Amino acid sequence: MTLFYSVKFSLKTTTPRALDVKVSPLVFCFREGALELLEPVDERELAASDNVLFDKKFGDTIRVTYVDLVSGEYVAKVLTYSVPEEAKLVIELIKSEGDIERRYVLLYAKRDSSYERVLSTPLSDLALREIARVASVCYEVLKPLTKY
Amino acid sequence: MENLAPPSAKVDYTRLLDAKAEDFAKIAEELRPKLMPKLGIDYTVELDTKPPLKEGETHIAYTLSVCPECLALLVARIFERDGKVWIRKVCPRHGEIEEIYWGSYELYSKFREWQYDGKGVTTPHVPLEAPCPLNCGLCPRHKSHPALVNLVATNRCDLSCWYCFFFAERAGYVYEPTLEHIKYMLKRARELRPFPAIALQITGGEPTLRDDLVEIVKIAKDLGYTHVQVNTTGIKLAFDPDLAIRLRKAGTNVIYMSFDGVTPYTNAKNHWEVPYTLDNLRKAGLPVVLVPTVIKGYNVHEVWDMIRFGLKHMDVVRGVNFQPVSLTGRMPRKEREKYRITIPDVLKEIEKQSEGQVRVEDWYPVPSVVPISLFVEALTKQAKIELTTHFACGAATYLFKDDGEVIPITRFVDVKGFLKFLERKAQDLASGKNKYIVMLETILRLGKFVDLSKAPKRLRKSRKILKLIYNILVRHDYSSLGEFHYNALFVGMMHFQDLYNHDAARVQRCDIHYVTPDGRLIPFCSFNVIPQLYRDRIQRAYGIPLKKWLELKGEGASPAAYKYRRNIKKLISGEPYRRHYEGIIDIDAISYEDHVMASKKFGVPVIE
Repeated sequence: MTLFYSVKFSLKTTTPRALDVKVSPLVFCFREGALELLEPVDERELAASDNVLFDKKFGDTIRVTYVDLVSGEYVAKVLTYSVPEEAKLVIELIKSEGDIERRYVLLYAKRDSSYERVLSTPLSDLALREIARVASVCYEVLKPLTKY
Repeated sequence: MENLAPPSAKVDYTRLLDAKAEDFAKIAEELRPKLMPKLGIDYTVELDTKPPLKEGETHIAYTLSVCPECLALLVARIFERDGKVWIRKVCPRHGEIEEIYWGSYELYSKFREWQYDGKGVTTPHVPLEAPCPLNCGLCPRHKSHPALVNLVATNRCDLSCWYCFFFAERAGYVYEPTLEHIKYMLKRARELRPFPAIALQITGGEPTLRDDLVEIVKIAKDLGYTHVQVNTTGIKLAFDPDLAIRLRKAGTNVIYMSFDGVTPYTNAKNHWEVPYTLDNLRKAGLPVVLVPTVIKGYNVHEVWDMIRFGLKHMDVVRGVNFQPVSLTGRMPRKEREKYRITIPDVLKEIEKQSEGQVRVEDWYPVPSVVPISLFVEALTKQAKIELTTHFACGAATYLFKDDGEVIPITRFVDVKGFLKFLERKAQDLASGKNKYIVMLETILRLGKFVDLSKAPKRLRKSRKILKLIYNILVRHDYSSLGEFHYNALFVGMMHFQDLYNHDAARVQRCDIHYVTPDGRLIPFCSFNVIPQLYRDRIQRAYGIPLKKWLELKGEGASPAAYKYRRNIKKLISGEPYRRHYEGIIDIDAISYEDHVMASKKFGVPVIE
């Protein structure tokens, strides 16, 4: 099993700008050609040392950074997923609601004992087709993601 | 703390001299990882302590900042006390650091309403590996695209200002990229998406010391930079009218000229040369923006006179852009309080000194113009440049001259109402409303935001102001912008940070960047505020030791050959001097001895 980390949070800020946003992820892996939704095996408070992890997830997707997070009132958790060894690819779906309404899909490939991001794009039919091409899987497998 | 890069992070300068653009890319790839700040070596992360809130203080927000002593990354608290905004951080090793952040909480709250965040950069030049602001390059988390890119053309300077540590002799090396190297750097900034850089400032040192400055302008224009400005003291331009003409012909749009006051006491840098520079720029048809650095107890009493000087010479002066001082280097609190001034303090001074002709409420923060971009973007379905810098970074207004009267734009345009209206219309367009209906609504409503009876006569005639706004917004005819600027003086303010008031939320939104020789783009307030990790580290790595420089270029390239010596007698007796300062200062009240003393005290020798 390889560990994969994601983050969920809710945030209210006034400075430098007013923001009220709730963000939750869904994590999938591919196994035997099928998409499998993973459940977190652990959940803990986001720590200051997670600042780079946070920015890697959200800095260039929904454009919320750790500096934004600490500026306001927030609840943030780091979710740990255990990914089966045979799964070489992980898909993370980031959904933000509130003042930032966006859905992002991120594709990770296994490198040694961790997962490295290879693609990140707003969720769309076209994006899923591109991911299907990169991941060499059938688009139909990914199609259900559009309903999240 | 020196924080210099390891010796391996240094280029053998002989590799740089004849290298081609592609070679620079290779050198940069090798060097960049070594030059990036390193955790545990260059900085530490100490985010566990939240600074306390004390009696009589109201919390505003937290942010991240750095310790001025050891560069530890810290949590900082922004709070209100006595109607002002402050920032406080606590370093485990160096204790509590508190600094004034903004001189008015009321204005801070008003400006905050205008914060918009940008689209960032989709093609960052460095991976995200460290916390902000210790990962600059631009990194993927950066929120604004560049509005202005700075290129340091040289660190040589013909002056030796007492407070500067940047110029070649003090730095111990010459940093002066070759034209091929510059081409590589400027291309890197053009590679950025969604908006490639389009505005460039060539700066220094003193860029006019380069014989090939005009070539740099041409390179920038060829690469697609539509706006090129040269940041200079203007001294060389005062004596070289041909340089002004050649710069203009090459495509320079504006000269960005230091101008710290109207008297020799406050502006010993270029007080005597400015009249001659302006005359040469006039002849060349090359406009200028005056750039005063404002320091408490030094030149604050002249802020309105500096604007008056700009208004007097509006035929060539396009703007006055004040920069409240950034206190670089280490400075005890008492000393900082002596010099520190913030944007609201300068605005209040302008109101006081102008006797209410320009009031604090006439100013708007930089991102307040974002609704214009949003509206045009929604109308044309083409991405537009957005000035999404932090609301506390800058302020601006326009002043019109009308029969000797000064009229700020806010006196005849309901700026707030108009911008909020445009924002709503942009939302209408984004949600699919018919564009022609929105355009019609805009035309019908325009008049409601303009009080023609209070507008300058020139803009009142045939409802010209309305036509100009219509042309800019609906027809996207930007030549109208030029017409709008005619007879209007842009007055701006940009407060660059220092280690004491440093706020990472501002850095992340910065839209003034430096392009570096290793192909990075670094926000102004990282490049200059943490020079040991950015400016000095990078330029030293790409620099040539002073001694080697002289061996290469010959004794004619020695500082002694280009350092400026001032002939005050000649300058003050010339007709341009009196013509430019008449009505602004009492010229005859300043003795020759006072002139000489001011220049010498500043560090510029005087000859006769």
